[in-house]
Amino acid sequence: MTSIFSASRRTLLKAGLAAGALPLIARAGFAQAAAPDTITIGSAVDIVNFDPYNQSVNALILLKALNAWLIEYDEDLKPVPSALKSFEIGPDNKSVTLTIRPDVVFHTGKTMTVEDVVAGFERAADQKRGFNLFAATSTLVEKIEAVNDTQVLLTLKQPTATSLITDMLVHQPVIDKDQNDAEKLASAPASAGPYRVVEWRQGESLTLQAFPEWFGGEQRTPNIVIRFFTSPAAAVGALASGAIDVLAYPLARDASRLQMDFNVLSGYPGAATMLLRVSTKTAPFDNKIVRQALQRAINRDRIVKEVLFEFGGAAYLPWGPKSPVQDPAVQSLIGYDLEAAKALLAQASGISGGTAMVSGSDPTSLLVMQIIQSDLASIGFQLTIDQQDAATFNKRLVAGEFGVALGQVGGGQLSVPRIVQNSLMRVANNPLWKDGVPPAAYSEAINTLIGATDPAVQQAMYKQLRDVMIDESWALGTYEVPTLWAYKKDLQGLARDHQNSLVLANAGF
Amino acid sequence: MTAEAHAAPPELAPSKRRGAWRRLAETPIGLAGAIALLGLALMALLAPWIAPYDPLAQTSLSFEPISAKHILGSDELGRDIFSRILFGLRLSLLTAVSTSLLAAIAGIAIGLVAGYFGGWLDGLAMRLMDVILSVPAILLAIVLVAIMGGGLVPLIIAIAIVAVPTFARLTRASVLTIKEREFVAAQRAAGASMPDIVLRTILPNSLGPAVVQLVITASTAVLTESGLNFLGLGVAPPNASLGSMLAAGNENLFVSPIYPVIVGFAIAILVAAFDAFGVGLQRAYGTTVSRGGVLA
Amino acid sequence: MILSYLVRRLGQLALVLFIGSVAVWIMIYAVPGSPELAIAGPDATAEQLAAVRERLGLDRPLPVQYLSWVGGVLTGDLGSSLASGKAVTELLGQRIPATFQLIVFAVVIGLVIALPAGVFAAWRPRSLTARAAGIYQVVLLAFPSFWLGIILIWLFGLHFRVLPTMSNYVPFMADPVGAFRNTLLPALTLGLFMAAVLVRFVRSAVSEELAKPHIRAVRAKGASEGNILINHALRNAALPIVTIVGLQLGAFIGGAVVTESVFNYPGIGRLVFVAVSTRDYPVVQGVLMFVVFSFAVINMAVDVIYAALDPRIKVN
Repeated sequence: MTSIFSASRRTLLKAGLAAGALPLIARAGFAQAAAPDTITIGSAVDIVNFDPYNQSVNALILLKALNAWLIEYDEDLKPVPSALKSFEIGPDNKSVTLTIRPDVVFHTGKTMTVEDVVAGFERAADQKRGFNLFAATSTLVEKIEAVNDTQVLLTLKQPTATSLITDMLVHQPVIDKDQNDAEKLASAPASAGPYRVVEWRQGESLTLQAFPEWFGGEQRTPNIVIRFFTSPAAAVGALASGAIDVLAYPLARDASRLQMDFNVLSGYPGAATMLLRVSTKTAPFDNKIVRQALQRAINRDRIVKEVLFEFGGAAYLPWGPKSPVQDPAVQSLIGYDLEAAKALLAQASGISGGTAMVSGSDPTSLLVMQIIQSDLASIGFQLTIDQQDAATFNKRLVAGEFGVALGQVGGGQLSVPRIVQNSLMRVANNPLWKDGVPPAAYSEAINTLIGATDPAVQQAMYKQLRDVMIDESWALGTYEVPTLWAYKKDLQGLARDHQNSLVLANAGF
Repeated sequence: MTAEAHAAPPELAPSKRRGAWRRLAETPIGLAGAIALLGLALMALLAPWIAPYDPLAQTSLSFEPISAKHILGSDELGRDIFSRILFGLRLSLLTAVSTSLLAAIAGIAIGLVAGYFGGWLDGLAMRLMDVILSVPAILLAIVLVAIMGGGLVPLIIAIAIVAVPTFARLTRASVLTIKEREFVAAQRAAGASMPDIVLRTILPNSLGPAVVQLVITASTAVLTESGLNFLGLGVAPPNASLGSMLAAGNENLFVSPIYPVIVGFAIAILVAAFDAFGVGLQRAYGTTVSRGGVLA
Repeated sequence: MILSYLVRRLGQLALVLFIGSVAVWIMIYAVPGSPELAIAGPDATAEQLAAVRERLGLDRPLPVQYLSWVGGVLTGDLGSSLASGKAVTELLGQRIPATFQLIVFAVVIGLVIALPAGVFAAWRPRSLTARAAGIYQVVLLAFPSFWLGIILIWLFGLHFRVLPTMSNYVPFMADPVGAFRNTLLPALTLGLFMAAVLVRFVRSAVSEELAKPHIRAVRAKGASEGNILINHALRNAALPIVTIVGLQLGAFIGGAVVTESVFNYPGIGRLVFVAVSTRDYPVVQGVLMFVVFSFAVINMAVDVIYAALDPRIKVN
């Protein structure tokens, strides 16, 4: 440390920059070196509310820090009870009995009861209030009731695959029932996670403090400060100069450079997959053959090498690398082959170009789209990039008002049918298809898999899914999204869960 | 902050305008600016022949250093930075010129109408101009671009709207002084029609400061455009303006610091050329309109 | 006379604010994209989106929303952020001191450079310093102001790694050293740039004074050159210099959006930029109205003070 200090000081003096003030600043810099009782995290994703039912906009940094969940997944996706003492799946997979822990205390000071759990499921099943949890809960659950003071019984609509049940439980938070609505949770979290909010300066910083009554034991670091940033360069500089301890979501290019001096934590494989979305309502992509041509013009290897710096792999289907849907043969069917793409375009005949929508605030997508654009141009297809600001991009994306666009799908490592949580993968009201109806083979496979417990049926449906994804080519797997954290080498115990929520309880210097 | 116009009442008799271009040629700084601009415009026009590479061709590895192969290195997708700057110059010049022309046309029209007719119309128009001026240019442009969507045309319109008030105020001030002159009163007494007086007499006489402002607006536009691109609002890839290249350079600052430095200098040369030309014009026209700088 | 001038200016101010509020309102609602999407998330169903709109009162007709907003503004309530439910006045209250501190630092840096350089350049117009000042001014104004910020980040944050490139707002009163460290880079970016703007004004104001007959008289009496420059020329040139500094402050009220983004400084500019991109209407409206209001008031104050102080300026 000292040697860096004196060297930099000398160089600076030589450069003749603000010579008088610099030694003072530099020394002050090291006097201010990270206090061991606080971890400072820089995050590119702003937090807009604290409602865990609304997870897509709730930064992953906070989900595990502020909230407690019924169960958790370990690294092998094996369920581990968390706010529950235990759970038991009934015979025929038609019901689940949840037994709660007696010592779960909310940040509001109240101790969790079965009523809180019931109210939590009721909200999840409510069309208007359930947000992200609605789709799964309303599809699976018939009835929710408290059996006694410690147990809740979920009656399911039909025999349900075990993985689908645990996927639902792992995403179900526990919240004080008096606070469990979007408006109250927007600014005041009321769950039972290891940290509670001390101060929130919107768009600027969030200060957390260890919650003394956390049921999980003792947190290693008493204070967490999260700072929100907009400029990647400033954020990398902040980590390099020691102003922050953890940088969440650096660009892959920066992460590969930071690896020399910092540790890099990678996200769970398959937690998120980048898809090239194709709106089948928009010409020329209403033509299946054009979509198939597009599929073959994605140079995934180059993207992995030059944009992701090997931090994420190539993806061909919307599911993660370990998903049972995967089959190595897929790659050879839809891999990069410009000659095949050209032949398909010739077959479609009369097609000269289309439009790709990109969000101006997403530099990675801009790069990937330019790679695809350049390849398509070489086979006579002009892909025009239409750059929109983030809010307009999102609005058009979910309305299907675009030609092609890059968009993530999460949960690819979970049970296969859970993919329909994503609005562009729905089996009904799907904005990418005319009248909201995706191909029948797709919907049939998804719906069958919800209740299928017979391996033979499952395998048949997986094949059906692969075939329809390849044939209809409207959600083209592009790459596994590299979710990254760069952090100081002397920081230990930093982890992430299956959906890339940061786990901070065991982190410390 | 955009240009601050300190409009001195223009004392321009028709005879004084005639020698303006000749006097411009006699101010060394103005001449230098004019020559530099001409050179830059030529480079932009001849880009397809000068550029060693296709600006869109992803021919090399990303961030190749400066070498004989790539005289300014290669960018994040392995494209030749020098070739992209040449083509970027086209978009930046196009933005600068069309922005200032648009702003001038709209601003002069508003200024003429407000100044000539006066009354409540004048009051309303000028208060609207006050409102536009009171919001920082970049901030207003951000909202306008959000309304109109991405791409070059919305960008040009947004920057133009922000620049309209300066033209309107300048023109109005000229009109107010010229309106009271004897030769206008004489024409009115002789029964000349209103549009005739406005278009044939008042307009040409109030153009002087507007011409200077035109050049100032062009240089401001280049800077504002780079600011908007930095915020992710701007030219659609794979094409690049100098501003969008600077934004890309900033994103890759950690990996290739030389990239934003090079693009920054390219922008500065273009802006300085406009500025120098503007100073020359000022001296030639004897006006004192000056650029405050774009604080973004 | 000054009183009737004041009354007229107040009338104009009211009109500017009214036109401003309507213009801001129309503009914001013309922006495509919807706040409910930013809140409910991209995977929300149509019913969920409608429920959010209802909760936020966005389902009411626009004129009704406008009137209820104006009613709030008149009682000092600028509404609340759609995203967080926090009061816009609270958000402004957090950001105004941050932006103010940044501006003050920047102006101090600007004046520290521009005053001596400008005075010297006026005193010895053909000296090397004067030429250097002229070149400095031209060169700096030719770069985008935030470009300097990028270079500073690279130099101090990435290369030497001595200064935080992600600036916190640390109140000067609470922690002067921390405030200095955290504000230095963005303030330097803006200050070096502002110096380029100011140096020209200082120079022309001082040289105008130096050309006046009374300076020749003072000089004839044998006053030292330093005395002449500071006590006579600079003092008399103070009014135009103060004015231009005041106008720069006014221009800054909306924050320096890009520079704040470059350094991640939590000022007003970044607040409004983020609000635009999440379509947080009340925040955008509140901040823009605050900016329009402050700018108009500062301008009016400068004009009125000028009119009151300097009888030569025709009140018109």
